[in-house]
Amino acid sequence: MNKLTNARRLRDDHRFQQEGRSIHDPERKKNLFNRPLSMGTQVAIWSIVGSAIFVPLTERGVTELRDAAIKHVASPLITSVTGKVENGIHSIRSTWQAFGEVAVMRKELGSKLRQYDMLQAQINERKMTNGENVNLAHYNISGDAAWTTIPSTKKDLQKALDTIEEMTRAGEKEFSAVCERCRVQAADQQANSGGIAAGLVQAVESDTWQDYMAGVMSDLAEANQDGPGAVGKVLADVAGSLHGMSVLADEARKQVKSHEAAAEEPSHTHGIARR
Amino acid sequence: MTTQESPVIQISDLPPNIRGKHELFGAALNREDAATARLFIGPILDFYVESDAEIPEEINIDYARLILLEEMGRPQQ
Repeated sequence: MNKLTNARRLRDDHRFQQEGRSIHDPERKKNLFNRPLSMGTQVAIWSIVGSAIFVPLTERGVTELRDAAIKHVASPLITSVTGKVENGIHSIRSTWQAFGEVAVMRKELGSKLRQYDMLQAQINERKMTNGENVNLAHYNISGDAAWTTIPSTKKDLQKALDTIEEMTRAGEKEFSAVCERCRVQAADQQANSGGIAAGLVQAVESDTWQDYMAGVMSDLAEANQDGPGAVGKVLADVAGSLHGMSVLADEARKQVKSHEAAAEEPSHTHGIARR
Repeated sequence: MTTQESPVIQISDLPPNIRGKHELFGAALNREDAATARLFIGPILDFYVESDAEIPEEINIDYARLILLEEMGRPQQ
């Protein structure tokens, strides 16, 4: 039986390439896009200006390919295709930032990932129905893969926003939990810590997710009037902000840990036994 | 009906002639020589398909790198 393994699909792709078919050839593209994504594979599919390439989502793969991807977008080839190099660079950088964010969130959210099984099914269904013309931004954190492309229609934009919102809600819960732990620690440890943790809480909370998402929705609505390039720029900002929040949260976690460690050492409490 | 998963053959477990081709494939990729890398990936993929085995993640990644290289080198239209 001819099982459609990754090996077989890659071999088929190799043959297509040997026949001189480009990556834009519908059959070749379909073969690559419809590859089964096993747990070990972790493939991200990135589609931009109609060209499709797939890149790995592993730490090693992201590291190795980040520079190549930026170079790819900045290349004269893409310049001629899009005429929007600046937007392209923004988009690909945001894409990689988003990949990093997805990878981080996949680790951090743990059991919450199960909530995204439904999202996975939706993505698969959408991929099937839209075939090769998929134009949406997806940050799929439930399965093995992340797809991200720049939405070019209002309908796809809305789908992309729905997906981002889903992810953001999960992120909000996570960050809220971090904030709360940090707040407790700050109140408990302020005398010793000099308010560092409190400062972090303020930093993390200064850009609330509700306000943030409202701003994103508004920006995207405006950008949608100006075309896909503007949408890509907004998505770049979104990804950048998500990344920033993640960094802040990491810092907050470190602070919490250090305060917890300090709290376990009575000698650090000005000689007053704590109860 | 469930599909039986194909076993993964790791690169270290490849027969010497295929492992050698993989080394040459990797070397070509590292010097960004997509054409040479293409020469060597074919027999490697043939081996996996004929063995009814699945490829390890490293080859998935390297194949993606190869496509990236080819796309970067594609003539401007």
